[in-house]
Amino acid sequence: MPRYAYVIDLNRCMGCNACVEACKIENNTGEGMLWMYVFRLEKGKYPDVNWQFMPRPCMHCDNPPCVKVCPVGARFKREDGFTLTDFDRCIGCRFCEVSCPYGVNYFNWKKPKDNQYFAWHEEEGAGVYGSGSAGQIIGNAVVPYENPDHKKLYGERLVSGGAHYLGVVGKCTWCVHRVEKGLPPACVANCPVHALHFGDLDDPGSEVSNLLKRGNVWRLLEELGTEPRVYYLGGQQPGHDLRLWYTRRQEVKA
Amino acid sequence: MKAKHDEIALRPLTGTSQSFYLVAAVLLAIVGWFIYAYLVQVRTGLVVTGQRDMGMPLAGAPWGLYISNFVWFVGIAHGGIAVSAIIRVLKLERYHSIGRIAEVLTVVTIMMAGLNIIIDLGRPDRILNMVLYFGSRVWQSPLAWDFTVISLYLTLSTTYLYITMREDLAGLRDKFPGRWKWLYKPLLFRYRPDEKPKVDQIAWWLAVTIVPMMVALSGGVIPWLFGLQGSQAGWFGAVQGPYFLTAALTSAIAGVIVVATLVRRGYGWHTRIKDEVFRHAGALLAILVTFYIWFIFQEQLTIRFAGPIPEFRVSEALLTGRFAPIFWTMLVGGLILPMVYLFVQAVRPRAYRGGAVFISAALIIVALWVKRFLIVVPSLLYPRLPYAVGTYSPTWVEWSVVAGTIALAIFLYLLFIKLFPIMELRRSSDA
Repeated sequence: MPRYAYVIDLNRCMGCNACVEACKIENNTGEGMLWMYVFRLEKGKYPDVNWQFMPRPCMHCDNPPCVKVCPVGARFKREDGFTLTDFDRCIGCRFCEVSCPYGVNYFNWKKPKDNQYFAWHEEEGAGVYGSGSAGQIIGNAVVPYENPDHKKLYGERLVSGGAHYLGVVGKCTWCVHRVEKGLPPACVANCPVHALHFGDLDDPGSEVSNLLKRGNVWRLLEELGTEPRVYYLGGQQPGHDLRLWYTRRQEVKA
Repeated sequence: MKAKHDEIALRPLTGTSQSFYLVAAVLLAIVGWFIYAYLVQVRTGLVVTGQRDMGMPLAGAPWGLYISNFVWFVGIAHGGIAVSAIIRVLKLERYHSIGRIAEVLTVVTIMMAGLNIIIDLGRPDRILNMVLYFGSRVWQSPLAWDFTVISLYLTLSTTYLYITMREDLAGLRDKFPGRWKWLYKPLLFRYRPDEKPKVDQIAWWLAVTIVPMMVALSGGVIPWLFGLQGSQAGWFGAVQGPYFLTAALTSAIAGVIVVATLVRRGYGWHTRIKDEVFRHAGALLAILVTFYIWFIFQEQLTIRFAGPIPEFRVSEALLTGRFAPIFWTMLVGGLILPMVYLFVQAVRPRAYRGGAVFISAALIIVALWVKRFLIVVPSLLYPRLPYAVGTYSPTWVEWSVVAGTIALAIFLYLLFIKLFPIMELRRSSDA
C-alpha cells in the first residue's frame, strides 16, 4: 500500500499560479472554487520587504477533522493517504468546511453548469463579444471539455472532479483520477519550476522521500494536530510577521 | 365550581375572535412567502443566501443565519421541560397553570430547529443518508450526535405533552361529544378514566429523563458542533458547553414568560395564571441572564489577557471592530438592562409590572438571537491562515426563512390552542 505525500519547495515557487490554472482545467471546478490556491505573503517593512508564495493544496490530513465531522461518511480517508469526498453521498451540510483549519473546501453554491467561465449555455456573457452567449457565438463548435475520467468511480465511489452536483462540497483530490493511472496531480505536472512534488513515502527512491531528508521541513498549522501530508521546504510558517500581501500599512506591526 | 373553571379554561375552544383570524391570516401569508423563498433556494442553489466559502477567493461565511437560527430555536425549546420538571419533579404545583403552555412551546420550537437545519442543507433530498449511515458515523460526527439527541428530545417531549393531555382530552370529548371526534378519538386510544396515577408515574419518569437530556442537548451536542473544532478561532474551547447551556436555559425561561404573558392576556386568564408566576420566573430569568453575562465576560477576558492572535482578532472584531455596535447594543440593551429590572422586581414586589417583565423577556430573547449570530459568523470571517478577512451579508431569502419559521412556530402554536386545551382543565389552581 503506497503512502502518498506532497512536498512543496518554497525556495522555488515564484507565484505564477500555473498550478491553480492546471487544477481548474483538469477538474472543471466552477467560479469561486480554487482547489489549488497560492498564498501571496509579504514580510518586513518598506523598503526591506520580501515575498513568500505558498501553494496550498488540500493537506489530506492523517487526522482529518473533516472526516470526523461528516455526518454521512461522504468525506473519508483512504489507506494510501487520500482524503476524498463521495459526491453521491454528500448532503451539503458544510460541516467539513467549517471544521477545516486550512480552508480547502468549496461548496457548489450554484449549479455547476451555470457556474463555469464564459457561461456556454446561458445568456450570461451575452453581448460581450456581440449578441448571444459565448456558446452561441461559436455555434457550439466546441463544448467545454469534460474529462471522462471524472465520471468513473474510484474504489466504487464518485470522488473525482469538481463539477458534479449542486449543493455538495468538493476539494482538492490530489487528482485521484490521474494518480490511478500513474500520473502526478495536474498541479505537480504543470509547475514550471518543479516546486511541487508528489509521490510515495514508502518508496525510498522517490523524490518526496529524498526531499524530506533535507532540513527545514515543516507543515502548516501542525500544532492543531491534523497531521497534514503536505510538507513545506524552506520559507516559514505564516504568522504575525508573514502576512497577507495587502495588509494595510497601519496594521503592519513594526 | 369546577364547571365554571372549565368554562374559563375552555375559552379558546368555544369561540374565536376576529383578531385571531386576522393574526392567523398574517402568519400564513408570512409562511407562504417563506415557502416561496425556499423554493427559490432549492431551484437556484444556496447561492441565493449570503453564505460563501471561507478563505479564498470568496472570503465568506459558510454557516450563517440558518445555523444561528437553529441554535436559537433549540434554546427556547428547553422551556417546556424546564417548567414541567420544576412542577413535577420538584413538586412546585403553583406553576402548574403554565405547564402545557410551556410544553407546546418546546414541541413547536424543536420542530422549527430541525426545519432550519434541513433548509440549510445543499442536498436535503439526501437527508435520509443521515439515517442510513448512522451506525458508522455516530461514533465520530458531532452532527450525528446532534441528530440523535434532537430526535430523542422531540420524541420524549411530544410523548410527555401527549400523555399528560389525555385526561383533559377525555374531559373535552365528554363536553363536546360531536366536535373534533376524528381527532380526539384516536388520541384517546385505550383511555381509561382510572389511568391517571399510572400516567402521572410515567410522566414523572419522563420528566426526570428529559432533564439530563436538556444538558446533553444544549450543554452537549450543540456546543460540541463548535467547541470541538480546533479550526475556528473563537469556537474551540471547553467553555462552550456551559456557555451554550446557560444561553439555552435563559432563552427557555424568557420564552415561557413571553408566550405565557401573551396567552394569559389573549384569553383573560389573569386569575388562572397569577402574577406570582411571572414574578418568580422573572427572578429566575434575572439569575440566568447574570450567569450568561458572566460567561461573556469570562470568554472575552480570557482571550484579551493572553489569547492567541487569531482568537484575539475575533475578540477585537466583537468588542471594538465591525461587530462592536451589534455586540454592545445586544449586551447592554438586550441583557444588562433587562437583568437589572428583573432583579429589582424580584426584590421589590411593588416594582413588578407584567408588561415590564414581558418586555425584559422579549428583549432577552432577541438579544440571544443576535448573540447566536455573533457566535457562528465572526469566527468564520477571521480564518487562521492569512486569507482575506471575510464578509457576510444575509439576503432576503435568509431573512424570509427566519421570519417564516418564526411565523410557522406561532401559527402551529395557535393551531394547538384551537384544537386542544392549552390550560389544564381540572387541576389548575383555583380562582
